[in-house]
Amino acid sequence: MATAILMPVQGNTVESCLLLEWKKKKGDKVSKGDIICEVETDKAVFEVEAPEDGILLDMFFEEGDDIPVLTNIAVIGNEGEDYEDLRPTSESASEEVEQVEKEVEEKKEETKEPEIKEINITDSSKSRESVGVSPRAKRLAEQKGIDLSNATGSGPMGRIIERDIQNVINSSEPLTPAAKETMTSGDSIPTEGSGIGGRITSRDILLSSKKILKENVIKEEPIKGIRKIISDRMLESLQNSAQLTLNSSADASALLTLRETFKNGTLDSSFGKVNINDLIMYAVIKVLPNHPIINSLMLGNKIQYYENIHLGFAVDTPRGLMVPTIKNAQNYSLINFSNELKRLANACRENKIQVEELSGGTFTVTNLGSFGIDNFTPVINLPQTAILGVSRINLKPIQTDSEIKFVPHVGLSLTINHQVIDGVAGAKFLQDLAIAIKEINLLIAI
Amino acid sequence: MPKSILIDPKKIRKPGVLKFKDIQLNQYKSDFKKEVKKHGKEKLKQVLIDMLLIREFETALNRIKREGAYLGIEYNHKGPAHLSIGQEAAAVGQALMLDKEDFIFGSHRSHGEILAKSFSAIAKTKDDKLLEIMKNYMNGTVLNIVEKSDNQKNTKDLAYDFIIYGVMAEIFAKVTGFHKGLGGSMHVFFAPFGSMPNNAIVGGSADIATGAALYKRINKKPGIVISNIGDGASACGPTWEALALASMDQYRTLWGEENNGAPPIIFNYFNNFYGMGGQTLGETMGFGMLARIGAGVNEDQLHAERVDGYNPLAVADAIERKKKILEKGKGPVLLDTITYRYSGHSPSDASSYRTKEEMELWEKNDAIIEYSNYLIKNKLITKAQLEEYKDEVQEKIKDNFIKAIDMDLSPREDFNSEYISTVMFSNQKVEKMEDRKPDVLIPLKENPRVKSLAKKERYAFDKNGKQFSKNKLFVLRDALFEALIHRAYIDPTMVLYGEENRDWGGAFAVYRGLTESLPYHRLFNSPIAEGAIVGSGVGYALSGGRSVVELMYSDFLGRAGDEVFNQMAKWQAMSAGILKMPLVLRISTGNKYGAQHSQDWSAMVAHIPGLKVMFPATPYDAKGMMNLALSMTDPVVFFESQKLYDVGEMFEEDGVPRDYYEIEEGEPVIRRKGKDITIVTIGATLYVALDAANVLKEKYNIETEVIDARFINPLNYDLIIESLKKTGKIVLTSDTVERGSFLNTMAAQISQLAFDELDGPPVVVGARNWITPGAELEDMFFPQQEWIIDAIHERLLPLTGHQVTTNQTIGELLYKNKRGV
Repeated sequence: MATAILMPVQGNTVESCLLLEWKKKKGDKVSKGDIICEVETDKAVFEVEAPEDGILLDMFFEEGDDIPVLTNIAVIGNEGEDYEDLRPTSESASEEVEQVEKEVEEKKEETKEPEIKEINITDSSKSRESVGVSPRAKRLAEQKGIDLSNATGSGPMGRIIERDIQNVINSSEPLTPAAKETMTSGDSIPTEGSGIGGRITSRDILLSSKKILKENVIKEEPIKGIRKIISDRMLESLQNSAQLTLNSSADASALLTLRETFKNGTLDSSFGKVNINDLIMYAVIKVLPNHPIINSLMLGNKIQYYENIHLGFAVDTPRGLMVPTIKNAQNYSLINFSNELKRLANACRENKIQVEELSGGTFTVTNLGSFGIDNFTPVINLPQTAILGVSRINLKPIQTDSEIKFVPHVGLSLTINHQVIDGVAGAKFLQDLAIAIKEINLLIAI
Repeated sequence: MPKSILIDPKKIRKPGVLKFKDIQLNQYKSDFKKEVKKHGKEKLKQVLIDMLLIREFETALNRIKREGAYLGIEYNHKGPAHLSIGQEAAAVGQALMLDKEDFIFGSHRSHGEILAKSFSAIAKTKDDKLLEIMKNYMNGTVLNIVEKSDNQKNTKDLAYDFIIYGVMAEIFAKVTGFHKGLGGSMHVFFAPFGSMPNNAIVGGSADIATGAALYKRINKKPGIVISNIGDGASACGPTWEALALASMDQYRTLWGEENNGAPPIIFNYFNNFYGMGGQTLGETMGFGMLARIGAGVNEDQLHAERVDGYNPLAVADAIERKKKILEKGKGPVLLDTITYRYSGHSPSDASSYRTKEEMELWEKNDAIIEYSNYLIKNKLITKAQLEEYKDEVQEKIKDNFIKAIDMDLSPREDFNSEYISTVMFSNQKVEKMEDRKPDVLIPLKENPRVKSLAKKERYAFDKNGKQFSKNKLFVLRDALFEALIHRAYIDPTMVLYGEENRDWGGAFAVYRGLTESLPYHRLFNSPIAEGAIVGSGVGYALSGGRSVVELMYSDFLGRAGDEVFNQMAKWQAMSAGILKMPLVLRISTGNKYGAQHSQDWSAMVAHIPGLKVMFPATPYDAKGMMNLALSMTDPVVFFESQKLYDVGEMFEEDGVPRDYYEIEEGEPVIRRKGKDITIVTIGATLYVALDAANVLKEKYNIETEVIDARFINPLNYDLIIESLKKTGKIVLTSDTVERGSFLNTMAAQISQLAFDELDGPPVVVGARNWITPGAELEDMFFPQQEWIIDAIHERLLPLTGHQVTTNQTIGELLYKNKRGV
């Protein structure tokens, strides 16, 4: 009997994978374990193996196709065998996506870490469901260059109707004569003007013009692969959460001393590789259990609190930003923790990272200190609710009783999803973290 | 309700016995000498040849239907073939004594009758006249084709080919057929020879033929009319209605001596004992003898008798005798012409309902064999001659068959052709259907109602904008009257009839005053027989007269369903424009009288292709549109709302013109100008919409444009789309129940025509999908102004501060649909 090769499920949140390359041709004899093809998820490239021996009877997709997980992508069997019932239909493919989503949901339920508690968020902010835009309103908006998102639907069931567009037109600022001259057909009028009294100037028109000045372009490349995934994820993150960044710093004196001690190998040479970043992340692990809201996921209208810490950290790779995860980070000793960080980072850079090592994080740390950044606003990796950015160590003037001393401080930027975490909760976490870093010796001694 | 005829209780209540006369059965006795003397030897031979031709014609069709080939020539005929093999003698015998001016109407099984009647007409028509008829028919198309053979012996022979080919090509849906292939097997006819439409609806010809007989009678045209239907049609309501309409006493009692009594019609039943598979003798009917029917209809028992249809000369004898009765005005006549078909009802019929023995018995008695033997016995022909005839006949049918199936010589209308569009309506304007002086009783200006209307106010409001009292106003019913009497004094053929049309003046007094002007034969009360009222109107119109018939209530449309949907609507196109249908069917839509007297069924007629449908709502439109309807040659269903019979003219400030004018066909009209929202109405809801427009202006400062569609078909959407371009929002309302209402068709069309103009979906506000409740409860059924405003609020334009009082939401719409109410 012919056997289908499935697009495997790569991590809980993966819905589909991109087929990179077929490693076998139709009609090839394959053995169990042979690499059939390479596929890419939003996080990694991985290989799909032959589930058994046989002839590769057919491949159902082409390189470059985006294929829902659990879809049959190829079929192995004996020569001449009928396998038509294994060919995915476009319907079953989409059903499968839904199916997977369901299973994922179910799995989440099953493998849920022992939760501290679960609370429901009441959905008070749910916006009125709009039924759309009338054809007439749509056409008027196009003609007048009105952005439909600026119109409030006053029609039945919130439909945007002609008068709503008329309202926008009436309230929007007029064009300067020069702007009118600059307008060509196809240009839309910007909704806000930079001129006096909000008047729309010719510059506003030019800036919003759909026409791109082609002559200055030196290179053009499509946004695809990991870049595309990053692009989508970042935008999605910012669009679907209420992010707020709190900046602070921690006294890094002890940190620097400890690092120096490790480097000198006075105690144990194996500590030589433990760096500042490792220590800060270690401190994060120690502080997080006291701030369960920071170590949480927001899933739909639920917050899931986690006892275990799956700590994600950002790694810069030639293919772009990747975020491997140390699972159950609270169980690691400092030295093991440091080693695991290095292993994962290298795996990312060498493109050997396993898909499961790229998912499932409950909190993330990102460090731009080595690039001389003082502070920044990290973007949350949804559905996580917070991310810590670590900046460079600077000398900070500190007033003591008698004098002003310059004390090295490491910059800390915590972005929280204000939907779930309030400013004070985030500040308290940062405060505790700063103390932990300051007292790092004590922390690793505990 | 003529006052001249007294219903005297003394007479009515007198005891006594009602006696019937004997009904003669198959009394004809052959007498060869007499027959030769009457018909001549050649005619007697021709009877045989004509029978053989029909037999061979039908046999050819039977072969191609059953075997796919005739004489080895293959042909696939997709259409029907209801054959009359076995019935030839009845058809030829009947035609023998008929003239070209005599009309026969037939059934689905009438190929033989068409051929026989045409052959008979050919024999009785001079050659030059024959050539003229053939040259004029379809600009000589058919003649050009049959002439090509050049094997005809003479003009009459050529005319035989002309008929055989024309009918055959029509059966094969060829553009060279008598109706360009639009009629087909069951509808083919040839009017110039008196073969009139054959009807695929069982019994369909009975009331149409009655209308044709009325046309001959009223307009003093020569000839008689025969309704040839089967015994299966003897049960159909409309055939009984036709008997009633044709045998009314008033023809003798009230129409006057000079008008020659009853319409000259023979209701001939070609009694082959089967209605499809149901046996009328002993199974599906109870009369035993079909001729018995005549006994119950009038004192003359319809001069009914049974005729042996297997002897052509017996049939000819009966027709000759009955024709004399009709010419004296003593009709109508009923004939039970017995015959038998060997072929099944149609090729799909396996004759499972009759025995082989029965069929063999009849074949042994076959009319053609019997008649041949009769001629041979009497030495008129020899056996060898008979064989010669058979060969010649086969050659003739074969020759025309080859021509008719030839796709080059006899092509079909192209599939992309819009030809049918050009014959759905005749679109002609005819001042009068015949040029002679109309029969009237008094000069128009002496008509009492005309005189009384001269004093009425033709615009509803005085100088101060105050409305005149109803008694002073010229109202919608007066406007209709003016249009009708105008045309009645111009067109001598125009007749008006229906229930309570005379004396009473129509149930809604539209005809009040016509009685004084028009003699009985132009305005009369019909029996309560809606099918025959409309069906006879159809027959009258297609014979060449203008008829105006009335269904008192729209609700009665069901009683005339076939006549409106299949006859009135279809004959112009089925004849490829040969026939015209100058018929106006007035239908009032009611209220106050509950569920069976308050419906507006305009959507039903709108659905049927071939009808023009009008629905005026103002006196100005009523007169202008009735004038239009009465000037055309197309069938018009003219709706009148009983709610509006007494409204004055509120829109045209100059009032309803006294002179003649017409409303442009298909053009809606703006009755109130506005820029914010459009309301389109059909019928009485015009006034509801205007009330709603007032409220919208006063309470919400919304300016409503109100458009009266006036026309349903044809309808020009331009004005409506122009209005929509302005307003973007449109509500459609009428008194029709919402589901299936014509408004929904309009809404769908508007969505297609102007999707980008729409600021919301076209909203239909119709009556509820209920029965109409009693008068006191009607406001819960018919659209009210609140419904319109609430629907606007819920579906198009939420109105600031508006409090709804009815549920017009989308959710409710969905729910009502789900529940089917």
